[in-house]
Amino acid sequence: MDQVAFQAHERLLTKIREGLQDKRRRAALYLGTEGVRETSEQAYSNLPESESFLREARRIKREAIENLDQNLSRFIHAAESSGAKVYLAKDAASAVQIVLSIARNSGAKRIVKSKSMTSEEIELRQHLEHNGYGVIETDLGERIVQIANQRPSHLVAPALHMSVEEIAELFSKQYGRRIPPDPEQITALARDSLRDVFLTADIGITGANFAVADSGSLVIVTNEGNARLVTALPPITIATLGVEKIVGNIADALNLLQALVLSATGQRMTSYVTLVKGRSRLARNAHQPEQHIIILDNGRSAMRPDPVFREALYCIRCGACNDICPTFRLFGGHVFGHIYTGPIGIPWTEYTAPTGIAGALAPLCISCGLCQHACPEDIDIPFLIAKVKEAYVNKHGQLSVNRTLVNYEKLVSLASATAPLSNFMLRRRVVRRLAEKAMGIDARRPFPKFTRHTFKKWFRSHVSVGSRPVAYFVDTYADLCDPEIGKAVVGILEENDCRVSVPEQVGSGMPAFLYGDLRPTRDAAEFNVKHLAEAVRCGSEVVSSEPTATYCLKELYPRLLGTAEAELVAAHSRDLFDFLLRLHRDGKLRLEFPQSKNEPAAYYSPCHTRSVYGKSPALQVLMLAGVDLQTVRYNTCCGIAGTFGYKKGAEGYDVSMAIGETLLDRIKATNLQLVVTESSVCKMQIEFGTGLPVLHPATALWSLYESKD
Amino acid sequence: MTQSTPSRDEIVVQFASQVTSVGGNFASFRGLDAVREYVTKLAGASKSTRIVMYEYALESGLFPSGLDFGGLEIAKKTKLSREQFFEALKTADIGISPVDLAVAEAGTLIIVTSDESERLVTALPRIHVAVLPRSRLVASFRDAPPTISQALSRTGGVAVSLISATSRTSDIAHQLVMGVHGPKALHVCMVDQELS
Repeated sequence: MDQVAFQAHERLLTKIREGLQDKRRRAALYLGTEGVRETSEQAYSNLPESESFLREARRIKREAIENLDQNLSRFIHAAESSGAKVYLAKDAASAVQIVLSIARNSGAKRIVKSKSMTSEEIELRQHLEHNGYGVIETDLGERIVQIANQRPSHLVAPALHMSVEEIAELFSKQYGRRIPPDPEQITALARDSLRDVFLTADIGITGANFAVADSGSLVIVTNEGNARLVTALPPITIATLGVEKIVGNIADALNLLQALVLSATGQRMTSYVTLVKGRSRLARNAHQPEQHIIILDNGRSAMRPDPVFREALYCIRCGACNDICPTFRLFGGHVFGHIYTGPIGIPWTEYTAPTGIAGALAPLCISCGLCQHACPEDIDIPFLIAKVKEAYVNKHGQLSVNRTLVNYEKLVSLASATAPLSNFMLRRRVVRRLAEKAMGIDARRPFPKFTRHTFKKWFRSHVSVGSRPVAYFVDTYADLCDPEIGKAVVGILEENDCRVSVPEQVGSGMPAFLYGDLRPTRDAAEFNVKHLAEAVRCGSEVVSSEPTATYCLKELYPRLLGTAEAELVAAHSRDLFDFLLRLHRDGKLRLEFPQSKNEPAAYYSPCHTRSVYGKSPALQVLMLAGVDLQTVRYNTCCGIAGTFGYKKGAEGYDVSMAIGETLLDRIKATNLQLVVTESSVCKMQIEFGTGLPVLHPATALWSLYESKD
Repeated sequence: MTQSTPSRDEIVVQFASQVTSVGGNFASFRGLDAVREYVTKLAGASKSTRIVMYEYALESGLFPSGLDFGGLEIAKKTKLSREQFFEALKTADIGISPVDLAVAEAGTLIIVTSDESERLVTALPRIHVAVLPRSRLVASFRDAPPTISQALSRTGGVAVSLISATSRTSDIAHQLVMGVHGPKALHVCMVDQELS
């Protein structure tokens, strides 16, 4: 890694260390993000399945971006016919110049703003203030960060990172009297102090959540109602919006609007949505108010032709990826973000901010995949971030600990081949201390135990009989560490009339993906797809017992390779329990057990299961089998994220344990003595963090089948 | 999955439950006389002394001009200068507006205005009373585009306001607070008759 990148990395580590120490900030972030995720998921689950906008959201944006040129010219034509002045700004500086010249020509002094990420992107308020204009933010969260002289720390909730005490202190200073730490009183103060500001402002500046091409109208979403006043009262209004915000017609806008609101806050609809076309007069006042619309490019037209990054333009800025992201929840947007925060902020920063900023932040992504699952546009954010990581690593080189961990799958093969000596050595304190010093592997994190009696060796002498051909993708853990899982998978499948094969395969390649080294991941993808495709062509379905492997087979490989063969394998690959659920639906899953040894257990659904399936198939099958499970909900990742939790201190381990803290506490609070989860890395985190034994659901199910013998 | 069309009554029930689930008030009336009575009572209970509405609402016959609401003062914006108008709005307690369309699935009122004074009647006073003719209630957002498109096709400036609840924020410590820049209370009065 070169000096520039090393220094940037050290700065990030400093912020991470500070963030981990800042208990008040962590509590505030947790409160906001967890609360919104809970409400939003609940709201989605309350919707009737017939709701079309859920399926429409991605199509609408895809078409809007495809037809951007036509939509743009239709929008301009319609808006100008309604009296608006429309400007195209190629970058941030020219957008700012346009606003300044409007302000200068009109002799304006006082400016009010409603919340707009586009104005943050071009740092409009700062430029206006620098030029002597009084600018007041009117969204409460924005007003708070303005008074604090900060940037918003979240796409939707700008002051998410602050506690009520902090905000009360700020307002007390600002207004020269003691304001108690009470949201009601602070809000009342903001209302009272801003009334006259609205009524006397010369210019009102807004963004737009959507722009509608066929009517030249802007759609602005708020809960406070401030944007209504900003668009109605001042004699001049200026809207700044990114060119990607334009959609074809009002029906499309209403569909996206519902997805935006449900994902952003969990409301069915925000209190207010303002659609404005042109400017209406005020009380038949003779003066015709002015409307200026500035459409910003600033890197967007470079994203659009890119086959990978084009997808980032589908973002509707709901912030759901921020709320669900394990590291964002810990640190907030002042660490995980430049102007655009959280996961989607990485690709957006890559294109709208100076080079290198996004790449330096990208290691905060631990590839859990949850953001894509939370995204109403289904944007493959983890992949976009991996591409940003790749470009950065190619330019600046790799951190040495990452160079080691990229080779994780080779290292564990070696450990298995040399077991039990390797196990003995890896448990020696002196070895661990050395590994920490020389390689950056945290000495506190236990290694898994390896065996030389691997699953694949066992399977070589195993004869499988059955009428349904199934190819088993084992991945490393069930092969090299716990072959009993692999044997259980084979046993369950054979009980259900499957003929199991284990085609030639290597580890999934995910460890390299995490660190932006996509070459080994691509190699693994090519090798696995080639051999699994042969099996599929011979009529096999592919099953895996490792959620990360299923994620790779179904989502990452086709994305990475873009071949028909990868698509074929993806279409025929599934998690073991999804496969079993399908058998069950066809009435072909055998679920009678002579005796049910039924030790109650806590169940945790891993990120990659949630990211592929939402609802866990393993949980559903085990419930059908009568296993007594209590689900432990946690809206984010357990924290270990593959090899991430092995890295020394703030580089990985400390962050990993901080992310997992709440989950581990919740598991302990169940007072159950057993945990079930299907991910091998979640298992390691939970065993380490709770001291409880963790079973793979296949092992749990197989023990029921076996009980009859 | 087959989708049965909800009945008129089901739509009303869904709408009312959406409105009240987010803190709004819903009441249904046979005619405008009853609405008038409701508003008069509301004014008394909320210690309101000033009511604003816009000319269209006046002309609609909802509240014939000159009616004194039992002593309440009505600010009629058409006769006011910009400054006086602001003053009237700033001090107004109740704003009354008609509703052009309402969407049951989200409890959303859609109000089309082409003069900002009309929009401000729903934005500045601390109580918003929205009068919704029963015939203007539809089931889903899918039913809304024709009305909105028609409104937007008018020449000149148009604002279409979607109002689903009172003004609110959770910006401080994720705690819900009502009445930031707009009304703290919303009363939806559904009537069985048309407004014009």
